[in-house]
Amino acid sequence: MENDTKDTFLSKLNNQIAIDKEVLSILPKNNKKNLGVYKEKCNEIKLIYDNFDLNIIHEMKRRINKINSFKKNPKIDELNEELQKYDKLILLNNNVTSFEKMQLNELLYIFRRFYKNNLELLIENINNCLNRFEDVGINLSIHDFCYSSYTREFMRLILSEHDIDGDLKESFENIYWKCPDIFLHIEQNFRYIYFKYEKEIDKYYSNVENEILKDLKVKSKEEAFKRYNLLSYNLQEYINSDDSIILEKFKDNTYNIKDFEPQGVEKIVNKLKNLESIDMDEFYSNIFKLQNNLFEYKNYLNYKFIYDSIVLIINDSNNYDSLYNQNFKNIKKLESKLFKINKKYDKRKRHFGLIFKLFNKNNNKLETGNDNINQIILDLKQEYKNLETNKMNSLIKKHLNTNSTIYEVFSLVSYFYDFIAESIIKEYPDIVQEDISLKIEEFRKFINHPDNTLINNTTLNQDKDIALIIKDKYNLFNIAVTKEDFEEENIDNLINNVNIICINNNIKKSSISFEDIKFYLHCKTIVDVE
Amino acid sequence: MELDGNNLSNLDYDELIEVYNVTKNFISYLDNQIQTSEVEKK
Repeated sequence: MENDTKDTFLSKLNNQIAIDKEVLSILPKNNKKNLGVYKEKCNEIKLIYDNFDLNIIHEMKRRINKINSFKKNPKIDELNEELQKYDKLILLNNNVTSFEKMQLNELLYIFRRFYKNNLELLIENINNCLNRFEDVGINLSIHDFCYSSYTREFMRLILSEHDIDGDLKESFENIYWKCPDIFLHIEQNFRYIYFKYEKEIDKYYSNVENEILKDLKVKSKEEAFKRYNLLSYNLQEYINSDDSIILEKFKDNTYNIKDFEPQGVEKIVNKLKNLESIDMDEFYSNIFKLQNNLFEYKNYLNYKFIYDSIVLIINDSNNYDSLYNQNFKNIKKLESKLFKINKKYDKRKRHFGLIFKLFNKNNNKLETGNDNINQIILDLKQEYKNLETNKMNSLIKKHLNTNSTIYEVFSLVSYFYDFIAESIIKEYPDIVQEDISLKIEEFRKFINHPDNTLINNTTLNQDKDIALIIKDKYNLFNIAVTKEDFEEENIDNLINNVNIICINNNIKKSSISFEDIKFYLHCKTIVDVE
Repeated sequence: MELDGNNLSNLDYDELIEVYNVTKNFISYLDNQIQTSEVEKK
């Protein structure tokens, strides 16, 4: 009945148009008057079709609004909110020190590359550092900023919350020409402060661990990590088959509608089936697992430069503990020297200041004192940098070996911001600061992805041919993948095809159909223009 | 044929789009005829 209706309707419309064209064709157009009559008849017919057009647009809008009316599953926001409580999971990780738990390293790294940022951002960064200490119960005062008179001068203004556009900028102007390394001074000063209060900070984190477990309503760290994985997994499942999210991805071109034409999808499915007669439920279940493994594999390749650096450290014969201890001793020596010189310099400054006023003498000795302070701080910068490196390397030696999994390797170093950032910059020399932070965020998300199985099980001993391991596994389940599919020039194509099958399946599981989406995209442009 | 919106809700997506295209094409044809007759009148 419905078929008859639609066949009849379109053919009826075409017939009507043919009749109207016929009516017009028989009207004479041989003089002005007849042309006038002809034009009037055209307008009369056009009015009918214009009104009909409005009805069509109205019907299109009705359907578009219906498709667009799908609301996001409220479970998604609920789970996102629940997962935010697990941001503190790093605080339960005993492979890192309080320095990483405070995430102070990320802020201090910005000072090291101060020339890549503007003054407002750097001052905001200083305030963020102060807040991090406050969060762990340490309220800093001007007495903590003892590295140089310039550090003291600048921090005095920040601690008294002067307005950036006023005194701070003027102070900075005055300081900068005398001390272009002011932000390096501030960076090292914060590192000194951390070690000054390290015992209190360690105590804070050991107390806070129990509070976090209570907050998360779990009995142990292991349970916390398990719950986090389960929540993340469930969230991903809801997102994958959510009608409004699926539609949104087509609207913003994350997904291309052309990729999901039924014949195209069938072609891809047939390409990946090893057997003609295969249980399709099992096939799709394996394709979803393959999608997860490909996500892991691709990310492993993307971050292999980090992995390779760590493997070198695991296999070298350095004693990083003793190197770390030596660095620490050197730092203490240099800081002791620095504070002595600072005392002398402050005395001289007051003394020379007066003489200069009275006798207009030059203050070369003052400048030499300044240079000494600056040189010591630059030496401290190198020592602190080495200290960080040796600390991380020592932890690597302690916790990792050739039987460790790729996950354990990545997980251990993921909070050593300096190391990850330096590795990223080495790999991508032109990268900007924002993108470094983004890449690190993506790296951490990848490591903690709930569907990871490959990196959680593959050890350093087995990392020789991961592609082969994946390929063999799926060949056993009648998925037609070859070693060539995993080569650099082909892997993105394989990932794309597998993703299309998975997304197509998710669409089938949802309440929105491919036809709904296709109609929406096609007609939205029409109704927007009309 | 009565050209109103009454039967449009029974059409599937492709049919509705086809009806829109056919209607739009005819409206363009009529516009063209009106313009041509204006020119010829002058």
